[in-house]
Amino acid sequence: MHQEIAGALKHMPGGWCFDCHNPDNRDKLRLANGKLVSFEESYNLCGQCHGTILREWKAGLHGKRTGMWNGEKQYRLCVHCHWPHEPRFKPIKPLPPPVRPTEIK
Amino acid sequence: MGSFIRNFFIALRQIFIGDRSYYLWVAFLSFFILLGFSAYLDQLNRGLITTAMRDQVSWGLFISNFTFLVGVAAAAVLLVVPAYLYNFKPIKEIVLFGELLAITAILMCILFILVDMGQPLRVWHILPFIGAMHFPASLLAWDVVVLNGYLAINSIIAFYVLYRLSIGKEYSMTVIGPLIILSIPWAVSIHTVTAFLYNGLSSRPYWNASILAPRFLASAFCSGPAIMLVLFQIIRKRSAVEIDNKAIFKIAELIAYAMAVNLFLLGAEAFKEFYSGGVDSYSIQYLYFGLHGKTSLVPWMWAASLFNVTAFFLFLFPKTRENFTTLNIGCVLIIIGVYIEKGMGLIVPGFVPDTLGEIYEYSPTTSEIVITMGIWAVGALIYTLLLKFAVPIYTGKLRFETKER
Amino acid sequence: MRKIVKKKDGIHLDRRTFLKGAALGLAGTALPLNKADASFWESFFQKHFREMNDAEIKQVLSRLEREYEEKYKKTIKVGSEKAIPGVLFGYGLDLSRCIGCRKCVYACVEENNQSKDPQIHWISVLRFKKGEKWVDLEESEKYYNPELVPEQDYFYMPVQCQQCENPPCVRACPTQATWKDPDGIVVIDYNWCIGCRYCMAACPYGARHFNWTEPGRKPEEINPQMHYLGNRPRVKGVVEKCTFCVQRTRNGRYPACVEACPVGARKFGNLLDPNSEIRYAIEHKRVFRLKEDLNTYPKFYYFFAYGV
Repeated sequence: MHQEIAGALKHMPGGWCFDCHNPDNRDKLRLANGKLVSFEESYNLCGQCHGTILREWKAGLHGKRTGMWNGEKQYRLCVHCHWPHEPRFKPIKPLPPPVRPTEIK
Repeated sequence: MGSFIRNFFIALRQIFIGDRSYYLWVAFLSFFILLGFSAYLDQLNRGLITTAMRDQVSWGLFISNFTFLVGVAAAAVLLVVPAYLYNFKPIKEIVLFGELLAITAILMCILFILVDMGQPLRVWHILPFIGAMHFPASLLAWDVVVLNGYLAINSIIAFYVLYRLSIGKEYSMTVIGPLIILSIPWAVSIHTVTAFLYNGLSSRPYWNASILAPRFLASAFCSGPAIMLVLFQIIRKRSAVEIDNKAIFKIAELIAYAMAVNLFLLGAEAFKEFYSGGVDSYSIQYLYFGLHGKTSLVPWMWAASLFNVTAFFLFLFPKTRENFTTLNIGCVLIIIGVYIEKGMGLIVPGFVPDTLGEIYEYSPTTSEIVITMGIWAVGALIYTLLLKFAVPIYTGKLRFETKER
Repeated sequence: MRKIVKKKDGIHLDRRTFLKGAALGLAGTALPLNKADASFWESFFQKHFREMNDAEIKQVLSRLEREYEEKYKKTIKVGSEKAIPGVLFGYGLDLSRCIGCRKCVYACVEENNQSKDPQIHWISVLRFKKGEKWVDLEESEKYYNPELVPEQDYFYMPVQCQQCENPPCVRACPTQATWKDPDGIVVIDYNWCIGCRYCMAACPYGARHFNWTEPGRKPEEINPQMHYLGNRPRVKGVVEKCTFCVQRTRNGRYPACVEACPVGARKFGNLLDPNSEIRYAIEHKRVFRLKEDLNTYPKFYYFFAYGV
């Protein structure tokens, strides 16, 4: 079940599953100080190493936000965009370039 | 009312009296006018997409012609009106024809602006009080004011002079003297304002150079008088109007000096751009050498410079200046040279490269060219009709009787 | 009385006749239109937006809603929300994150009812090569079309209307068809613009676009939530540009491009609110603006939040 992750974890060189996961309770994540957090608060886990990003994420400067600029916003958890087992974004196909002026008839 | 209409047609009949070559000329012009008009109807219908202008180069042939003609309008008056002040008799007699040319040129300018507008019916928005004229912030608003004022001044002066001549009287300097004096700085202002139109835009480094307004005036002084010289020779040949050769040679001499200034300013511009070589110099590089392989304007610019330099020498030396063959060659060369330099050679490089670095090579479409030719034909027709009206009065052939008691 | 005497060398006219004839000769302009459509004339004689009182604006809006509903066969709402007091919009763009995917470009097209045929984009994404001249826009490229983005040696910079605090386009417009609203958005009244394109020459950022022909957009693609100064459908012969999605932002929502960006490179907020995201960016990041030496004071702040 975990073959595809276990063999090639592309996060944290030298790390392994239980750096983040809790072996005793798979429904919780484990911080370095032993504290357990739920999956909905996984950003605390990421923030351990990526503290500056966590600070910016909380201020709204990191990551996508939708909703109201002066009201209720929808945030995204880190894991919504960065899959923890291979966080680097894969390149995507861009949308088409604009039409050149010579093509506009 | 009935007699009013009848008199209108009687006045109109003047225009229909002429010889065969006159009718051929009018027919020739009418052909191009109709062609231009039908192209314009297509443009009205489909929008300005019928031109080659696009977002990257949003002004083209129409505005080029407008710029050239504002120069002609300014010079037509500027050159001859001072004759009143210096009493240079040979020129004094032909001021009227210069003013008629100025009127024609301004009317053509207005037409070029109208065909360039995306929503021409909304032109009333630009007026003060009933519209929302953005004066004094917008240079275009200034241009509307000064161009229409110039048209009014010249129309009043010309109309008044013709009217007085038509009833056999001399025109009174106390009546039009102030207007004539006013028309001198006003002529400078129409061309300066037009130069400032481009000059004030910090977004276009090619235009945002202090040398632009002086170059405008210098090149106007070349092209306007050159057109007048050609027209004077035609008027002289086709009617009883006498124009002294001295006047023609004097004007040609003044053109030489104006072209000297124009060439010097061009040299100054070229030095600054090519020597300092910042990114702002890309526009002039595009003009004379091409940029990233885009070279469509290069042959035109070199031709224009060649024409201008040749014409300069032709006008400089009295031998070639006072020989009508070389004089006319010089006139034609200057008209074409300045037309290119001040028309496409001014407008297009303002947009190349565009503000985001893109190079779009603008090359006018057939529709644009046909409309342009149509407007030039309208101008030629207006000037012809004005002459048809003015020359008989000027020479004394047509006189009106005052009301008998 | 008046005498018209035919003499040998021509026709002699009475002075009064001459005057009247010449005047009439110039007077022959006829109104070219014969449209019986009342709405056309209403639209033609419409006042400048800023001179209309609320009742007149309401009339115009309902006329427009009727016209659009007839044309596009769906319920349309055209609003005219004024600027919210105490708000000055600012925009932030994180260049360390933009991947050049152009999702913002097309989200804008969908939201703002831009013409698809011919194509109009309010946002241009420029691509620069790392290590080469920057920000030399001459070296930029906006027609890039690789298989995948981001590409190894390049970075991307989207450009749209900067909503300048000192806008050269507003200064240039001869009819005051474009102006800066109190919340900083530079807006255009599409019914007042005469299509002279002076503003396009004046804009240093290439942000303004012209409708060279009648815009082509299918009825099913029309976004029915419109603002008079924003995303209502334009006609040929007028200028248009990014309005910070005035139909959304004046109702508290983010602009469409902010919400579309998959990597969160776009930030938007109220510059006058010390707790806004954009203020955070300005205070904590090294922000710069394009062509700042022109003193246009754009509201579009670029920065690199993260070096990668």
